[in-house]
Amino acid sequence: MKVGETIPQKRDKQKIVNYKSLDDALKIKRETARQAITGVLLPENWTTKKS
Amino acid sequence: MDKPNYPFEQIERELLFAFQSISAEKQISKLIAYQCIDETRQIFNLALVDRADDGTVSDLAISNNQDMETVLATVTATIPLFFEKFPAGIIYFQGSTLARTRLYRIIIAKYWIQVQAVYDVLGQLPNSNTPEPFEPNQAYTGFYLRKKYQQQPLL
Repeated sequence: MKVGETIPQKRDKQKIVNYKSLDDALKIKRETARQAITGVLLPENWTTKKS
Repeated sequence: MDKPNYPFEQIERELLFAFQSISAEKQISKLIAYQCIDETRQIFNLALVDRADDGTVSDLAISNNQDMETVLATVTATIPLFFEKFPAGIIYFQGSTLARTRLYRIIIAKYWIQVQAVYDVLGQLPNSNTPEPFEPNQAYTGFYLRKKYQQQPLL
């Protein structure tokens, strides 16, 4: 860094935007989670309906 | 009724909660969502996102609001409400980043005595399709949580 050069301001992480809307966010997060659990075998007693 | 009808679609089952993360510097709108991602097995994804005033949403923002434990406690407080509505449901959650997934593992481990008294927890290891009972020091990529089955007392 050269003398007199402006020190970059610490990035305001709160301004990070990764979804344009709530609907968009929920849709993408749902699909991401769906992919993560696809093919996953839970223990049998986890998916047996409780009486 | 023998009449034509409009096409319709089933709205995905969701349970939403909203709250404000408040510090002296700022206030952040947060939303907790339980989203049904497997109807057969009743698995719901637990998501936590930030909502900006302009309607945009982030799950990557680092708010530095110094209230991480309060935020996670708020999420935790909604879990019994989820199980009231979906008693046989299974909650799946993962962090939006590896660091957050690790944070969730640390939080579960920290409160393990209280957690395991009420819930069964599985951890998903990378490159495995069979989640295992939660162990504190495993590098899980996601977690499954269900309410422990409460047996009726014998009379």
